[in-house]
Amino acid sequence: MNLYFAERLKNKSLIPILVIFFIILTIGLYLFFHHQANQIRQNKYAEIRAIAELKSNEIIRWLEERFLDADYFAGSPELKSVIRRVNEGDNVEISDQMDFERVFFRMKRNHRYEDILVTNSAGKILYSFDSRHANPDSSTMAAIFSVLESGKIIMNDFYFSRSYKKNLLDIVAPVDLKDGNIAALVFTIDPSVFLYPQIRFWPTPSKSSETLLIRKDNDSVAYLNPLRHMHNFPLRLKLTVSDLNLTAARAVSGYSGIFSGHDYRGVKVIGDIRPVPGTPWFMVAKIDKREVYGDLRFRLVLLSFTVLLFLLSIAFLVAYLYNRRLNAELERRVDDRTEQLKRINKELESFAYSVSHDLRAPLRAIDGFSAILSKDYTKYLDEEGLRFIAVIRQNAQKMGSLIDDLLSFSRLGRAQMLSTSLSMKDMAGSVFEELYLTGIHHKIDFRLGDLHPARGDADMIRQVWVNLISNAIKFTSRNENAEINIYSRVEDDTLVYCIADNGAGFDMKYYNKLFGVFQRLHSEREFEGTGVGLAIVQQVISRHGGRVWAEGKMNQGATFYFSLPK
Amino acid sequence: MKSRSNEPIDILIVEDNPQDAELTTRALMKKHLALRIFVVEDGEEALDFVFSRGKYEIRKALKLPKIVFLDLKLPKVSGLEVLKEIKTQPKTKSTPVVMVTSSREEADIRAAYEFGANGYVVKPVEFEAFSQTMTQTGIFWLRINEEPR
Repeated sequence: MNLYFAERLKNKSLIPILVIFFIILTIGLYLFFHHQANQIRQNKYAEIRAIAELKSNEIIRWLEERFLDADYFAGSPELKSVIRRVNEGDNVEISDQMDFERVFFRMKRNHRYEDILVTNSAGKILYSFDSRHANPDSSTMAAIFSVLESGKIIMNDFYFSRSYKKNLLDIVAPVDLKDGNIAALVFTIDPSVFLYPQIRFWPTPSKSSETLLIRKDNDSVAYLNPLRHMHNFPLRLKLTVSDLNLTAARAVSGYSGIFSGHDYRGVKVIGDIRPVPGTPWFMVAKIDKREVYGDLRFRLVLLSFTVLLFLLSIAFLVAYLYNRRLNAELERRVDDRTEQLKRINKELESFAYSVSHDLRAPLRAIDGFSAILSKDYTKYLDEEGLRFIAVIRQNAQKMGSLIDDLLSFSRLGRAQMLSTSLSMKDMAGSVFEELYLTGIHHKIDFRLGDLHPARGDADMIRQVWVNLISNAIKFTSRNENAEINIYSRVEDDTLVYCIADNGAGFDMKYYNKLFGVFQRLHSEREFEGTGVGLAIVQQVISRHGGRVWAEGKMNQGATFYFSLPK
Repeated sequence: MKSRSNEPIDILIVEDNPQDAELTTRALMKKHLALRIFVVEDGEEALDFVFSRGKYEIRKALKLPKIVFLDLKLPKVSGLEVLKEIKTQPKTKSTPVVMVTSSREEADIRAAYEFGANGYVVKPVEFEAFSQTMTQTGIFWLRINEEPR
């Protein structure tokens, strides 16, 4: 019954429980990771925003410094006197050059500027660090004229210089000569010296993070600094403004704040976009989505794997425990059954004991008092009466021998076997002699071959010989010339013993009854017997690991065979 | 001839089956072996008789039986227990006890000898064999065997 419930438990409730557990776990995992993803996104946003703000401020500060530099030098009286003096002459003398050099001496030495230009109020170049700058770029000239006209300091935004073959930036400051004339002072800046590295630098380790400085040029976005993920020349890459998923395009369209879209490579990114105050520039600080969530994805895989492993171990554990319980249950049942069998065997023994003791007593009384009646009361009984008493006694005695045979049959099944080596020839010979000499018998031609010795329990095997030989004697008792022939042979790894007689034989169609207990193939009147003899033979031989069989023909004799392991 | 409980006896038969007891008595009487036979029907009575207790107290002064025929299977106190009691008490342990039973079981025979039985006889079913067995046993213990005086 317990086994049945265990089976039910396995089939009906264990699997659904595991499935529900798994579903709950999956949902829990999903919620956990959703939360984690949010957290990470918020953290990353905050980080990017902080970095963008920092950079933006740095750029502004840097630009302010450049403006202050220009303003400071533009107000220098020494510069003004040199300009005035040079402006009066027609040509710029070597001595004038020397004077300019003196003013900008420190500037030139620390290389903070690519070049410094001074023009007069007509825009004519009075001085330049660099002889290459004799003919400034058109945008520089335009800026100079604009300053000469307005008298205000301005920045000439990133441009590609043909003479320098690189991107440059100018700060143009007016020099008030106090006589109604304004001259111009131009600081030309190479952004790759300080500005680009400053933009490029990212304060935390990252594989994909990047800061972009961009500007709107008509209908396109111009990237002002070198890109991390593309070999380009600043200002050369221009993408259309109308692609609003493009982070840079979003920036120049006036959007400010956190944005998630794609970058110039078409890769998904999240970033902060903001205008840089006081400039035409916009700043984009961005990082690849892949990198942001990459860590999370790794953790998801790791955790899923761990959970799966955990679940599997639980399943295995459950299966193991279940099996152990099943085994324990089976063992317990085997023990129970063994106990039961022991009890039954004991009951059987006490039954056999009772039979042997209690069934014989009444028979003894029947036979005994019948005997007394026939001996001491003969004068009261006629011949028929005496015959009846004889019949009663005969049956009582028959019943007695039935009980004896039954008991010895059951005893053989229970008896301990003690295996020794047996001389089968001696045993069969002595059994025949014993049987033949006790009682008056017909003449028998007894032939005993050289039997192979065997191993077995001496008492039991002797009983086999007794039963088989006494059968042979009994069933040849009506023969004129009775023959009993005993021999043996080796077949494979068994010894086969044969007892052949030429007696009454038997009909092979009743062969299946031959070895049954109380089964007889002859009437009591023909041959007396209880029908236990061959059953005992079979019992003994099968306990020895052998086999019994027979061949027979009505009135032509029978041959009985038994085999024993070699 | 059956003896009375206050007379000295030769054979004590402990047998719960009255027919068996009668057949035994008859067989012994026919050969004029023992003249004094007493039958008790259970183990408790057997012990009372041997140790002169209860209703057999008057037997205190009398001699013990020359031989006890003891059945194995008895009501109240079993044959083996009676045997054990007789064979452990100093007063009775030299009294010969022969088990007379229907059982040919190996275990019974071994137990009887372990407890000190002086013989073990299986009662045959057939009357002639039975009579012969009982008279021969009687002859041996009453006529052939010598007992301590």
